[in-house]
Amino acid sequence: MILETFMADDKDVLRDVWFGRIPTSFTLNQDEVTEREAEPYYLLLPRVSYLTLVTDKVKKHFLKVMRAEDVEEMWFEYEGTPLKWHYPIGVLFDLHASNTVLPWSITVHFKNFPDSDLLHCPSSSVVEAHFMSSIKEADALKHKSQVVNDMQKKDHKQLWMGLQNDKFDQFWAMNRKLMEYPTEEGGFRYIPFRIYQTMSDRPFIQRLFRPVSPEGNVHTLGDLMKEMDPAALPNDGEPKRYQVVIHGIEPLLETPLQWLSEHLSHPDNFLHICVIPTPTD
Amino acid sequence: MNGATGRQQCYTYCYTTPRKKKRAEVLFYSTPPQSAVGADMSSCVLDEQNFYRCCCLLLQQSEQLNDGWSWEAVQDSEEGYLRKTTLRSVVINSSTVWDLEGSSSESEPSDQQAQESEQSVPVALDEPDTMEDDTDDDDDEDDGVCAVSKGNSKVLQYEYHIMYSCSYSTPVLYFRASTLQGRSLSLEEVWSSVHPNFRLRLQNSPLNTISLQEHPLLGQPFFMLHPCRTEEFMRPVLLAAQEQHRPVNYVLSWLSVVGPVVGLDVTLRYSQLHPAASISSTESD
Repeated sequence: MILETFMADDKDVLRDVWFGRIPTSFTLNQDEVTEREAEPYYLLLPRVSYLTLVTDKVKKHFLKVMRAEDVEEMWFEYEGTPLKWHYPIGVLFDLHASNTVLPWSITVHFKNFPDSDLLHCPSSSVVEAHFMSSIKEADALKHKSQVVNDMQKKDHKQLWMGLQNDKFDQFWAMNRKLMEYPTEEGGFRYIPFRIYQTMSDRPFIQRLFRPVSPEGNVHTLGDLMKEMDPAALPNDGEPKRYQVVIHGIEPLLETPLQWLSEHLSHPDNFLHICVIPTPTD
Repeated sequence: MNGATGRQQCYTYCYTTPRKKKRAEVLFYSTPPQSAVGADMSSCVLDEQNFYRCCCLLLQQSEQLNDGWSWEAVQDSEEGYLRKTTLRSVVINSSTVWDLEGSSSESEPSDQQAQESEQSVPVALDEPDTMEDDTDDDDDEDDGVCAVSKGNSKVLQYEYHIMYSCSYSTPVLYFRASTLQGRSLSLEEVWSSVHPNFRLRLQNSPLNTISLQEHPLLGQPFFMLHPCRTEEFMRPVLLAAQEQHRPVNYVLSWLSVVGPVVGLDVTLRYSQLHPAASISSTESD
């Protein structure tokens, strides 16, 4: 009975992660050429999806006031920073706008695509390829690719369709296989994670890290941060300068990393961790 | 200047590592020394330390051959990548139709939808033979500039980076390509510039073979040759070398297989240099 309750709580976490939303307003860049005034467009963006996958309506809305010849590949920017569509939406928000007033104000562009900053994304096939590539890489780390390689093409499709169509049950029916591990191991081989910092030239930190030490000690989020980005953690007695954020929350540093990987990963099976300056208000 | 410092680090890394291992195996073989000949070669992968060692050797040899590779270090760390720029004369056949649907998963070669209409212009006439040029004694720089221009043949600037993927335990190749006027090539143009000899896998699943990715150290868009199949083709190479008791530089062997797919040729002169000669005098055990 108690075990079932515990499991039910864990499943709730999976649902909360999947259904997380960010209220966003899309405003057309004022330099775009329009035939009429463009009204902003409001949308609840899924944290776990990708910008170019969920903004067809945004494009349609602005195309109504523009001529076809003035429209090239759509791209997004927040306060001067081009937004990388290949990062999950929630990561972009936590990294750039988490401590600002909602709705998140994104500017929409149809010209001057910054191809030295952003990847082109001409179709949803590109998003699918990127998503599946992340899942495969995550499984290479967790299971030496054995689980993902044992899946059939239709299983891969199910993962993608689940994300694309916002179908939690369809997605997790397949994704749970990627979350299994041999009981005697105590966890995955390595934890798939990326740490993002706004203040760094480097786009992210990603290295090998085990969920359990050779001696059998369970590694925590704090252990990971100490190893990968010690500057993110406060020194004893000092005030906290940075927040370690996953899906918009700060998990306790004592949380076991294996549990985080199973429950707070994105659909791409990676733990995306944002290190942002603590707000100074 | 920066290159020298980076290489210095790479050098230092190569020669001052305190662990005592059999020289040949540590420097050349990707598998741990315990995996003797005949034992189970369960994985033909490369660990990070050996990656750096292989890069060191490649750098030394590149210097001897004037092949243009340099080491770029990342901000006071051992981490970095091998870098090389070249000019190439390339025919981009823009009439090829690329089937992106095939990229959604691994398609079998016999898949109907993968055999899309490839309306290529007959290659023999137009395509400059960039493969053979590199075995000449000419400087690589001369390759592209003096090729005969036949309408759709362009001189392009290529920049190649070799990095280590800890997820796949293999090297991985990133590159960018632009015209001499500075316009970046599109992904379709890159696909269309791959030599027909290497087109099969690309046609089946272009987005899973070469795609646009964020450079993991620099953050800018680069084309990447997907590494997930590397172990498959490196296995016979490594097994053959082990059977013949021949030392192998994993990175160099890997590069000689994947490089030509994206226009990067590895001159045969590398194989003429004795791999152990350059380190025997300085190695301290």
